[in-house]
Amino acid sequence: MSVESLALPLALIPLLPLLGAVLNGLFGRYTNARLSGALATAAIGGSFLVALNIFLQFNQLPEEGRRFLVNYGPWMHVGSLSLDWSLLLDPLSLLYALFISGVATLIHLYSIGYMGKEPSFARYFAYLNLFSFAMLTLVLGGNYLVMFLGWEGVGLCSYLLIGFWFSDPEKASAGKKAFVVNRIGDFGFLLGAFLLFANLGSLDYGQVQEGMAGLPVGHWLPTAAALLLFVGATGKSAQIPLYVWLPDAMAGPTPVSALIHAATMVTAGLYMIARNHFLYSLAPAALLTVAIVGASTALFAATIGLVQRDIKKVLAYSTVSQLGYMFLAMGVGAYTAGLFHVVTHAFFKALLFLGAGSVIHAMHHVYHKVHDHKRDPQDMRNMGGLAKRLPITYWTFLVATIAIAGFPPFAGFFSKDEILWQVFATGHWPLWLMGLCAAGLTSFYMFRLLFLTFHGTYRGGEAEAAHFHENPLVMTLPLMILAVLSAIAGFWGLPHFLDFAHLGNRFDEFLAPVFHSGSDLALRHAVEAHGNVALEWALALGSIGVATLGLLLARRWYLLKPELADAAARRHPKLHQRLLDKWRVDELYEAVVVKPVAAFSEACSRQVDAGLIDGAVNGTARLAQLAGQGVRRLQSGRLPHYLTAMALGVALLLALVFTR
Amino acid sequence: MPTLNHYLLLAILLFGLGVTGVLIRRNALVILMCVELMLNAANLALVAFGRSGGSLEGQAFAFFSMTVAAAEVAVGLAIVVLIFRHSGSTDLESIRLVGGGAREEQ
Amino acid sequence: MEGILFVLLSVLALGGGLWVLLRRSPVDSALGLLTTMVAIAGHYMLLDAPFLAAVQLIVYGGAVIILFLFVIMLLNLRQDRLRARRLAAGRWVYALAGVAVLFCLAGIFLAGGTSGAVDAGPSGTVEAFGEALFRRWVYPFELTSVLLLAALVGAVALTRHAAPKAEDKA
Repeated sequence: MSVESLALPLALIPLLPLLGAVLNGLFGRYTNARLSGALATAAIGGSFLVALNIFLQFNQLPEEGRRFLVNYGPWMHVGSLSLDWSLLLDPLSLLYALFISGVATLIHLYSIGYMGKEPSFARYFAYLNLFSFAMLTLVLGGNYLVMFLGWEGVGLCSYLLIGFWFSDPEKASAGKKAFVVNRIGDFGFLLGAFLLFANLGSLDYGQVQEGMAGLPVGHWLPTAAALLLFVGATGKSAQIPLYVWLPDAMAGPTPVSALIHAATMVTAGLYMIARNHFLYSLAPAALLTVAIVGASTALFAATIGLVQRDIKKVLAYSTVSQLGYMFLAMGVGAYTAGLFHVVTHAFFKALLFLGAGSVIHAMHHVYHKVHDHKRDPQDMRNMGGLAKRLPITYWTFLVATIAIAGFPPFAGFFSKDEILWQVFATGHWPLWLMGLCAAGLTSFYMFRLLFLTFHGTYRGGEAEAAHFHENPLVMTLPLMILAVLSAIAGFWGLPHFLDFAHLGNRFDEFLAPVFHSGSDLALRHAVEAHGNVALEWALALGSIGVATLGLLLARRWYLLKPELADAAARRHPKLHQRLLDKWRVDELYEAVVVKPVAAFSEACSRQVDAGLIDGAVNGTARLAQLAGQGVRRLQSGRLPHYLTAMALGVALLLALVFTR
Repeated sequence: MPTLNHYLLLAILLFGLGVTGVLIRRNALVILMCVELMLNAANLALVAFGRSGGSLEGQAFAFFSMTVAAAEVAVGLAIVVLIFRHSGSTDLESIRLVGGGAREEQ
Repeated sequence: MEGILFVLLSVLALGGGLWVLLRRSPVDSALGLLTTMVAIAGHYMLLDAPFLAAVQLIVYGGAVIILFLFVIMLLNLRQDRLRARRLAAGRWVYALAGVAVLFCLAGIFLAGGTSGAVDAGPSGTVEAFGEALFRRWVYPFELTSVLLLAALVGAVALTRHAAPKAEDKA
């Protein structure tokens, strides 16, 4: 494998979905949903196959040779700024490209079934493909600006897809909210990139890394840059304080929530930090910030998730919470552990969303049958006992629930436990405690969701329940594949205390070429010095115990004695209401940020705009009008006058030539 | 034996006639004819220059200019017909380009 | 012999030009223009450009003049109206501008002057000119077809679309 032989396939990974987007965008409305969806799925599936092929070749390379920077030509060369269209292939970008294209392919396939009756299916698939293009560009980009291109691209597609049903003002405004909140983060990202460029004169990853190499740990430049870039990450990956857009983003179609707002786009912030690990490893203060924000988000979002009634809202807060875990891992320098959770989370959270979509689709169908358009098909209080009606959905959903709750041997256990272990072993025990609590809450709200939706009896009555039937294979097949992945993906990154057969942690080994700088290694030594196998066993058993506690409580409250849950809510009405209101953070932002900004804009529009700017504009216009009235007389509108003027002009020119 | 100067003098005189005609006549048709006079004067000068300069370029230029003139007459006459339909005469004095379009002068 | 011909043709050309300017009837003006065209064709013969002379006769003497006459007939301009308004209102002022152009040109001519003979160049026979036209100037030559097509379309479009509008006015 060489740079030359890699150039074409590497470019194909993002370009295939782009092609699909263009084809669907231009000609999609002349086809039907099935064809349009098949085209989109084939485009992203092609990307996945190409990525897989590269991955297979990649494994045969020596470790040092696993980094390719492919340059496709200049983008802009202005002054000292020189930027190229370049793609970077290393284990990190390949890992992301693989799971993004893989999960995206499954979700595209699922969408064929889910969006089959949607009139503007071509627009949907074009957006979905465009998103895949942007996301793959983001992770494969060879410098900060190509990355930023993808970064903005996914933001745009996210906005377009959240507001896909834009005729509903609530959904359109959810899209706008996501866009505006993301802009705040993007602003931080841009400032960080500018800061790097201003000080190092380059936006190329390699050159920035070289420029950083000589700086001492704790130097202001990497700290400031890392913090600014982290602002971007909080926006894109929905962390405190910019997480508020993600729950609202559930207004989009459910497969979109699965793809963009659970599996891929929201992990862009993690990718960005992993890509800049050399920066963060030089900035302990920034790392600690990341860890604290991550742990707080993990716990905070989990508490909101406890009481939500909308099935997608629970999953949304769960996503925010799980992303918090990943940031926590990044923050203690356990990059590979965080990335491992990114991958396993992509599998089981995509599965959870698709399963929820399957339920919503079926509920929708039933409500359609009984001509009821008032009830909310996403409200779990209307569900119950669906396990018998939707067996495939139920069993796959169960796998994902066990995985996210952290029971071995499913994927979530390995990745989450690895994070908690690393956090503890690096000596951040308060953060570890927060993570552990969040793990218990996760187990509780996920089993609450499972029991409310699938167990007990259907709360819409037996007659209605008869209308339920399992969704077609095109929707259940992705569920089954993802269920298998959620079950077994954990073995890719087997922690060494469970590694009885001495297989080794393949995930760590795969990413090892990326994270080998000195400060990264220092962390590893710290873990090895602090940790021992007995402690690791203890922690693992502890987190399993907490998860079991959550499971049992959920079972008691929502399956065995539902009245207990209501009683608990009645006992603490204030707390319950606070949780239902999502701690009133939206209202707080409304009062502290949105209202003042709106008032300021209002004042500007009235005073500055109407008085000063309009005054100046009107004054200019008035001046022109006066001048025009004066000159108007020259324009008599009579042809001979014009002709004479022209002839005199010619004569004048000739005279000028003559006298020269 | 005429020289280049003679031809140029003739061309200047013809051109002047054309310009003056364009300015003093008010019939759009005659004005177009005067434009043709000017074009012919320029063609004559071109051919004479080419002949004295020792190349065929002057003639080629004149040839292309004739093509342009033919096209110009076609479009020009079409416009004249249009003006006539619009205002009932070919008198350019009756046309005002501003203040409410063409109208008949009383 | 050539000198006599030159003077004769020049007198014809200028006389035709004056005829165009001064006659009341557009038909007379067209005939004056025809005289000038033919005289200039003669000048081309004198300048050893027989091909151009032929084109001049065909294009101007034939097509253009006929087109003018045709439009005059088509519009059926009434003689009395024409007689009343031959010259523009401020004609002396306008004529002054024309004369100014004339003077400036003459001034340049007199100041710069040229002293070239007019028998130095190659002969503009059909063969030589064709050779040049289809080799050196073949692209411009082909492009003229586009120009003529544009003129054709333009002329048709102009006269066709205006018809209903004129009826509205009437």
